[in-house]
Amino acid sequence: MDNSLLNIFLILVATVGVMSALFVVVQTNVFRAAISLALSFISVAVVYFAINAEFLGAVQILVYVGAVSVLMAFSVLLVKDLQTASSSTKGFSFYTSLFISGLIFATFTYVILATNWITVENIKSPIVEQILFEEYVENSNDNSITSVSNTSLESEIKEGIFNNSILPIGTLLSTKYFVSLQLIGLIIVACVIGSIAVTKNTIENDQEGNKETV
Amino acid sequence: MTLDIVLIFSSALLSIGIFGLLTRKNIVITLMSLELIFNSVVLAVIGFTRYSIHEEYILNSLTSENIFNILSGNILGIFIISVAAGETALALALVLALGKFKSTVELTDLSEMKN
Repeated sequence: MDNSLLNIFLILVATVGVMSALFVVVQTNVFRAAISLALSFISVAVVYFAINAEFLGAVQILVYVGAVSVLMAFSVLLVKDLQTASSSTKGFSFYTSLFISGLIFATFTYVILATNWITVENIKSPIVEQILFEEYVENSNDNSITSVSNTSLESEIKEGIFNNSILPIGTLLSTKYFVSLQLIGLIIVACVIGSIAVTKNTIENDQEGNKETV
Repeated sequence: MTLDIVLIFSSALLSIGIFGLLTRKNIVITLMSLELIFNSVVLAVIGFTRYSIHEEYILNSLTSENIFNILSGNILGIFIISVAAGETALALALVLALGKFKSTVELTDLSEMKN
């Protein structure tokens, strides 16, 4: 119930994430920008772990920190002239884009702070709280869940589904969202084939160019 | 309060990504800003999944079939991450090809299709 320690931890992690993200967009050395982008991804993953989305945190570390950041670092090392980026702007000037993004951030922050979110911890009315957070038990005959006054079942159903979220996510992925999962796999295969085709033509043309010059 | 912190972190990442998209013209840093924006979207989705009250709670119709639907936002986050990773792989292959053919890494130099 007492979330103040979690809030302080989240504020610290978010500060680290925002600082490293700012370091990404103002850095002129692209390799350092990739490394600090990995730090920003790690802080987002820590937030996932802290708010009981462990599977998403693991996916975030595997995919973003392990694959995307390493891929960016490799592409920086493979392409010449990419090490140092010019800090000149395109289209918008520095202060115009600072004003636009600051306006977006201020608007979102105002809306977030001014809205009374109906969250689990925000329930004020005791009647609604009693309705929402009574303990539930599953009937064996018709699979419905009814409320009983058993204190051990409350954590098992309400909080427990977030504390042990691996099994429900696996069940959802293999039953309800099975076709979507296969389609995502198809999209990733298409992306891999496309990137191999683009890079393969590049290498072949480069070899032919070398032969002509020789 | 926890949801507010998560959402403010998400909006900060979003505005930093938009700032990077508007100012920088290096193509890899533009891709990094796009990744920051994807991260902010997934973070907002996960925050809402964790801290908002699901429909079945309110309607008091929680059964053993639909109790896993509380975690549907996590599935959406996994799908967003997968598509973003594939898109990043394709874009970095294009960056490699661009560095080979034109030996430039700046977006303002790519103006073949302009006229």
